[in-house]
Amino acid sequence: MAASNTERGAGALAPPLLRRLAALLLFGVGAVHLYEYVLDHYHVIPIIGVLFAANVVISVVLGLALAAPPESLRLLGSSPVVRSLPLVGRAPHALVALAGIAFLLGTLVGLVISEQATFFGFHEYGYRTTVWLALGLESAAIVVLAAFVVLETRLRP
Amino acid sequence: MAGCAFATNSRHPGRQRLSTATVPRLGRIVVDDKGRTLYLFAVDPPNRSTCFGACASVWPPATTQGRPGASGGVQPAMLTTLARTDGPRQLVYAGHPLYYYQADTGPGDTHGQGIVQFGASWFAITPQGQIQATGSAHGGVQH
Repeated sequence: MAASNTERGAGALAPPLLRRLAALLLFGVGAVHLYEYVLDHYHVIPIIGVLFAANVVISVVLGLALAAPPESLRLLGSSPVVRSLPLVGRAPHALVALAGIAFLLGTLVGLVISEQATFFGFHEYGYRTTVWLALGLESAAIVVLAAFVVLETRLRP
Repeated sequence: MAGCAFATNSRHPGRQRLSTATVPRLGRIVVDDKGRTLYLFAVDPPNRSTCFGACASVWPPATTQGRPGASGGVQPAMLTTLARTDGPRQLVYAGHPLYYYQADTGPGDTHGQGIVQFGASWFAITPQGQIQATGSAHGGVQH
């Protein structure tokens, strides 16, 4: 019985840790895009520059929402629309995590397309360090967010 | 400014033909077959590009598939190409590898003239193969 409680306790600790780790990874994604926007002069590139600026803002907003304590998302959780959603409706952080996964998948797909072909006419020249860093952070964030969603919804039957 | 607002793509250029055009403040310069301004990177050694990675993403090399053509005031004897590891062959004029600038979105745009990015200056090039140093996108040539 004691062992079972301990396991349950350890399991309950995992979602908050994953949530905070995902927030850090999202901040990292935003930082890489900010670096390229400012220091690599991507701000001059039509459409792509705007997308990079939007990426920075969305990464920070999602990261802050994930890092925020559950009580601060009470407003989101009290929404009838959100509450009507199966499982994630009872866990607002999971909804933010799902939004994060969708956002990161879009970012990843855009990056891969621009490397292999062109994205809004833009071609990324080569897999340099910042590109690998972006790919790594985005992939890791997707995995962590997915794990968080699974655990969060399991622990809230 | 006419033309689409998409970024410049030099990955599938087809057979390129260079020409010349007269643009405000700069006079006669070398352009591509769509009238887009072409630039040289001041730190490139003759017939060799030093612009790769992020630099090439913002300043895409002007490339060609097949032997480039020349018209207008472009002197065919000055027009050659060099091999790149990251795409098609790059156009070279009077020993200067040529590039587009992503902020230019149509004929007559010269937003890259005289600016410093990636550690050195960028200039349009005259039909005589010289640096066009008479104007800058920011009001004066920067060195």
